Amino acid sequence: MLRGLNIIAVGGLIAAAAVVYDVKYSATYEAQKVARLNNEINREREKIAGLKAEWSVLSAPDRIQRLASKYLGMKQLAVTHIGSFASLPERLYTSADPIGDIINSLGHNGGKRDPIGTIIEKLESAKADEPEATGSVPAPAQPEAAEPAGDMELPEPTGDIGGDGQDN
Amino acid sequence: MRRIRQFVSSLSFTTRGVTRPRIAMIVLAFAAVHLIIAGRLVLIGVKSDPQVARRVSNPDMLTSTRPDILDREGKQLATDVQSAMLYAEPRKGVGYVDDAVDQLRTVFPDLDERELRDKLSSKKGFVRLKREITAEQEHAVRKLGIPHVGFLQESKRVYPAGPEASHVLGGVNVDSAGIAGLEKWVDSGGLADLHMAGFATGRSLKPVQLSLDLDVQHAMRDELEKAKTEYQAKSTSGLVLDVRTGEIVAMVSLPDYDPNKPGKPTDLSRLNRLTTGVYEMGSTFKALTVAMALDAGKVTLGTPVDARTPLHYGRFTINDFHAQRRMLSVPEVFTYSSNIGAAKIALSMGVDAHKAFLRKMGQLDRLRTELPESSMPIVPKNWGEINTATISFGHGLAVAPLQAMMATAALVNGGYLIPPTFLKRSQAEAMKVAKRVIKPETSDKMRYLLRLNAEVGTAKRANVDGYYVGGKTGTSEKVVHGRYAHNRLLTIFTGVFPCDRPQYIVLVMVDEPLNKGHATAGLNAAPTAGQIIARIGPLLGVEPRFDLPKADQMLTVSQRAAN
Repeated sequence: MLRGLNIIAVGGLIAAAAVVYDVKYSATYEAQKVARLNNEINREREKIAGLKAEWSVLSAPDRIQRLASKYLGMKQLAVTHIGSFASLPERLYTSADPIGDIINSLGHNGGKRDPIGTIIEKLESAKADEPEATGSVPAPAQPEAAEPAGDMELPEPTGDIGGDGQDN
Repeated sequence: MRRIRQFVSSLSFTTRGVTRPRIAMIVLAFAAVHLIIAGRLVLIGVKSDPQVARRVSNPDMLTSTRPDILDREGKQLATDVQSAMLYAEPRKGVGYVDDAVDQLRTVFPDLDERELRDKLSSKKGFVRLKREITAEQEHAVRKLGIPHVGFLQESKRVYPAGPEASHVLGGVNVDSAGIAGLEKWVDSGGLADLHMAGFATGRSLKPVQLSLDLDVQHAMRDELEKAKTEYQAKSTSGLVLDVRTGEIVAMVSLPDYDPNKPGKPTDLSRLNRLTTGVYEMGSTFKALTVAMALDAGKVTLGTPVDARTPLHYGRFTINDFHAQRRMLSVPEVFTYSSNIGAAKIALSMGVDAHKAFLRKMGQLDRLRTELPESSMPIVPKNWGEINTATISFGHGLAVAPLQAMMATAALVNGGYLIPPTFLKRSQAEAMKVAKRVIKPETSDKMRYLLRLNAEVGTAKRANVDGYYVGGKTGTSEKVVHGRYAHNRLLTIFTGVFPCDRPQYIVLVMVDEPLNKGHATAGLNAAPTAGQIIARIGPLLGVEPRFDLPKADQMLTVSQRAAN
């Protein structure tokens, strides 16, 4: 009876010692980890501070002005360069449903409702008045008007018109 | 097992004997000791020792750090950077000195050979070999493996913008203690004590945010540099003050210095003319004189003032620079900058009222700000009629320019005298320390007068389209050997913009302009101020407006009828 109790007590003691040992060392390990991380944080903070200081030196207004006047040839902002919202012109075309309008214009590919197409047509017809360009323009204008993006490249294949435009 | 049994049986044997109480005593004593140890362990576990923790986290930080100083937009004006410093302990021996010298010079070719040898062969415990070492150099030196040569981290104060805000920031000495300017003020807030106790390490300190705007500061400094060259002046200085909050947005006094480089404190460039210097502010003081009389109801804008003949006081004669020799209205006294008129107006108030008004406006006492440097105004000892007459146009009383600006701001911001500050603050905070000194209606009239002066008077060249600038010029002769010297002038311009709802006040001072063609304030200080306003207006977010009326329409009909 007493012997069994003793054995249990001794076993418990050893087990307790082992647990305490383990807890102590894992605590020490964690403490070291914390210290290491703290050190790392401090080092990073110092690095950040160093980089910030470097950035401040590099972005110092005196330096920026020196570089800008040397390489950019910029001018001082004049009061007249500053605009306000009120002085902006009215929007040319406003609609309650702009996307719907686009879809509609795509649906009516006849050309009349397509704003870009209309503009290009006008340009084309204006150019068509020029004697030399006559004949070469109208043919491609009609089919291409269906696709606004394609319209932009219109003058290139004809060549004549582009050249004329530049000369004039 | 057997041993344990023997031990247990022996224990049980002895406990039966006379020794039993003794054993009980010993058990008790041991139990007590263990209890104490356990208690202490619990205490340590619950409350960790902060000193130990700091030592662990920050092993090699030697010098203490200072808080960053930021401008109002958060840009760095002053910061600490860490750098390694190379040291040696010659007393402990560094091996063969010649070898060590040669090896070190492979990494640092710029080190003086003889000096290095002297240092290493001395018997000192600690010698500093080189500061500001890069990480690569540190690595290279470590690879050399010279005994008793090591590195220490030290922090260094850096001012990234260089001389830009030198006078405001001041500077620190090698021990990181503030010796001038706001750096010294930072220390006075208990930081010095923290340093002594060794607590101010790491980056724990909260940055100090100033009211200065680095971009505005730079623009102003740049323009003042140009003006200094163009007018061949001894010095130029300028100030931008927010009239609504009393915040100093820019303060430049040229010549200035680079706070990154140590210098002599007695050097002339260290003098901040705007707070430490006192000057006779010349005709800019007429604004105060006129405001005093208008506020007291002694004159109205329509009152005629006799400026036909010069005033005589003994051997003194008060005369006008732009003499009109006729009766002038109050606005004309202002725009023609009539000394006679201003003197007459001040004299109509009487000496005591004049003195009381100037005291109320803070012109007779030392103005204290966060900057440790300040000066006492020079006030005449026996203040008689002649003093009132001359002080009315800014002669005979020397004040710090910042002080005069505080009063001028009160004239235009609706009548609130707000102590200027270098720290960021809100309008609500400013209103708590503000003191009403003149009526709002008087302030309206002063704005009208200042604007009028920029349209038809001496301040025309300060006008910038869109910013509705108003201002007053002042040219004073400097006192040399107790006499006014005609060829040594101080020209001053104080400008307010926009004049209908003032936001900022700009001061420009040109000291001893040599350029003969541009001697008076209207020809040098005023155009410089105009340049500055055109440049800082967009930076400060002041919207230019072109639909503003002429000054004459500033005061409504009813207001003018009341005059």
